[in-house]
Formats: sequence, structure tokens, C-alpha cells
Amino acid sequence: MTEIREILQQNEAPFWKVLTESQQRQFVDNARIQTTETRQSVYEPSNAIHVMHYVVSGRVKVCRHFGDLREMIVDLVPDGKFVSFQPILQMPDQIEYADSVMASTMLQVNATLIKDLMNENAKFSLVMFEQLANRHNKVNRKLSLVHPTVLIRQQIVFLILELAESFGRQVGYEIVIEHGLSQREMASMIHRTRQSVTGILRQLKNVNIINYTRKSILVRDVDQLKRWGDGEETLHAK
Amino acid sequence: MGRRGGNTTRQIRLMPRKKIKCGECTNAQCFVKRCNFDFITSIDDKKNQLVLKKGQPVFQEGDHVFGIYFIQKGKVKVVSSTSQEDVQQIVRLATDGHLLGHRGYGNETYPIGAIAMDETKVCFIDNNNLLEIFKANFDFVYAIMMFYSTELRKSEDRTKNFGRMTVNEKVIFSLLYLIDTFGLDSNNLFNAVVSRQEIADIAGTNADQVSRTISQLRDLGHISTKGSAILVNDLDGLKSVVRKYL
Repeated sequence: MTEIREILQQNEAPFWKVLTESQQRQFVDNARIQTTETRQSVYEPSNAIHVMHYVVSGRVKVCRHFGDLREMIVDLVPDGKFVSFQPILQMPDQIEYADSVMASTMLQVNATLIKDLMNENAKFSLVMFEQLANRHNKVNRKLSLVHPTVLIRQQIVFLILELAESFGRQVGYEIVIEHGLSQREMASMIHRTRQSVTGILRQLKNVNIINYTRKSILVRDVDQLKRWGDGEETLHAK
Repeated sequence: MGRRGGNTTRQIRLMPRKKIKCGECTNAQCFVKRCNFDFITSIDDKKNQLVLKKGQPVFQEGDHVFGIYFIQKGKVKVVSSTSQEDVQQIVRLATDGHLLGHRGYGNETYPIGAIAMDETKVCFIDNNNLLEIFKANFDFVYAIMMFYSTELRKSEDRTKNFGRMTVNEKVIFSLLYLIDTFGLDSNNLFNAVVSRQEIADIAGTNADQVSRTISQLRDLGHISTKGSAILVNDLDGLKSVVRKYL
């Protein structure tokens, strides 16, 4: 239990700071640590109804299946966030599932306790509401990318910037994004093929706007990336 | 992209002559009704009411987020601009009782805009007062989260399906989304005046393609049209075309 308390303090979880001491104690008494390896299931479509997952470290992808069992990533959850809100809202059908994209540590907490804490603590409610609202905003922004006038390069720039917002680390003028996704998974976030994503990333790498390795991207010049995404700049090899 | 500022001026300019008190409001779906009775009375002093004409923005992309809007009566489209200046995509539709303009982490400005599709009355509650309401009314918070969760799922469904639909299917799916949000009147007519361009903005296509699909649906007998009005003759027939996505 002391371990969980220390984890949350180190993690500087936004919800943790707004809980009172007795509420923190309740949370710690109730929480259970869950660790997953890369690509391991966090929860299946049917078994997450009563438990909330809080990501302490790592990355978790929240997915839904297409009819043909292809996967669509609806959200990529960084540390410091809850994975899904469906357990507290008791949505009638649990259609999402979640897998870790890298070795991750999570806290499992009973959804009833979270609901009770929201009932008792308005600030905690607000933190939870804002997190849900944020996910809603992100999905709506992504929906606007489905328009046929939106070019693939704009979609990829949007994706890189979104990943930078959640996982980016500023190093001087550059941004390191350790997202943990394969290029196939990146493509599934914007409904494109893996080949088209690879092609654009390679183009950007050739002109030194970004560099990438298997599971991370280094954005060398974010302004130039944005300008290129908006069509204000063409690419010239350096 | 973002046209900043102007929100406060617009709010003052659009203040209605007579403010409708929450206790007298007939909108049963409003989330404020989930608050306890004493609190509902106190919200009257905290809210600001606006009446918007068709085409007027509730807020615009780039405006600062000061609070949340509750639609008392009317219809609103939530839009996102694309790279082409004259092209917009409708990412969401909202009607009586729905919410607009919620803030997420790090969203100090609106990433999207909202425009009235009809004469629309909205109530605005700023962030500080919203926190006060949150403090005292868990049912209100819970109902709002439930609403957003349902809206989230709808948006995810559209994102998921639009990636693999034909243009015809996208148009039909958009018509069903309009029916789901605004409903049909007693004569089975669309309960909203929606232009072909607006349907195209939902479907992510152009108005000509929408007209072509509508004409095909008319030939199949699923719908009839009179000017821009659409009459639904066979809702099940319409759904059957996109059944695999529903």
C-alpha cells in the first residue's frame, strides 16, 4: 500500500492532489497494481465493467474492432490518465478493449469507489470530467480529418503533433516522441495504410524535418513540420 | 484557421430582452434540471442567455474557453475547418438539452467552432460557476459525463465507419445521423432545414454527390423530396443500405 502511495506521489497524478487524506487512504486501500508486457491485453471487451485502470507508466492503446476484425485505435493513453470511463458510467455494452503498447504499470481501482469519490469531491469530479472531455475533443478533431480534402500529409502532421502533445519531450529545439507504436498502428489511428504512412515519414526524414526509429519520432523542426502540413512549404532535401 | 476574440462582444450583443429562468424553462432534457431545486434557482443569477440567428456562431475556432453552453432550444452544428478556407466539416450536431464548448486538458482555446442552424437559444455558464455547480450536484456531473460518453461513442463510430464507407454510404449514414439527432416530425419530414451542402459537410463530400445519392434514394422509394425538404418514406429501407455499419 505504501508502494501505491509512493507511486502516485511520484507520478504527480492530477487527481491525487485534489483528494483529501482520507480519500487518498481509501484509494490506496482499494487499488491493485497491474503490470503488462508489450502487446499484452489490459482488458477485453467484456471484462472491464467494474474496474478503472489508471496508467502509472507506459502506454495503453484503446481499440475497437471493425466488422472484419481489423483494429481501430481510438485513443492512446499516456501515463497519468485513466484508460476508459465506461466502468463508472456503466455503459450497456463494453465494446472497447485495451492493450499495452509497451511494458506498462497500471492501478486497478473499483469503479464504485471512483464514483463515490466523485460524489464526495467536486474537484476530483472536474478532473475526471475534463479527461473525458479531452478525449471527446480529440475524437472530434480526428473526425475532421476524414474529409476528402484533407491530404494524407496533413493527417500525418496532425498525428505527429497529437503524439507530441501526449508523449513529447522537449530537448532543446527538438521534440522526442517515444510513442511505442508501430507504423501499422499509426496508420490505424488515421485510417490510412501502413505504406502511405511510411512513405510520408520517409519523405520528412529525407529533408531532415523529423527522424524516426522503430517506436519513436524526433521532430527536428516543429514549425517547419506545421508549415509543410498546411501546404505553405515544399520539401527540399538538405 | 482560428479567428480569435469577439466572443464577449457577441454575448452582450445577443442578450435576449427577457431571461428565461431555469425554474420556468420547459426543456426537460436540460442537465441543469438534475441539480437540486435550491441550486436551480441560484443558477439563474450565474447564467447568461443568448439568442442566435441561423448562421451566427456560438463560438469560433480559436476563441478562448470561458465556460460551457447549454442549448435551451434550437439546432447547432459543430464545425472544424479544413485546409481549404471555404470548406468546413461538420463533426457534430447538437440540439435541445445538449452541451457545447466543454474544455479538455490543455484546451485554452476552442479547437472547433459551433454555428446555429436555426434560431437557437443557449445558456452560458462560466468555468468558475460550473465548478460551484459541480461541487453541489453529483447527479449533474454524472449526467454530463454520461452524455459525453455517448457522444464520444457516436463520434468514434463515425470516424471508424467513414474510413471504409463508399461516398453513397457516407451520405446515407449522415442522413441517419441527422434523423437520430433532430428527429422527424409527425409527417416524417426532417425536423431541421438542412441544405445539401450541410449534408455534404457531415459526410465529407460535395453537394453534387449528395444530390445524386438523394435522387437514387428517391428512385428506390426510401425518401421523397420537395425543394430542400426531405420526407422519409421508409426508414428501415434507408437503414438497410448501411446495416453492416450500424
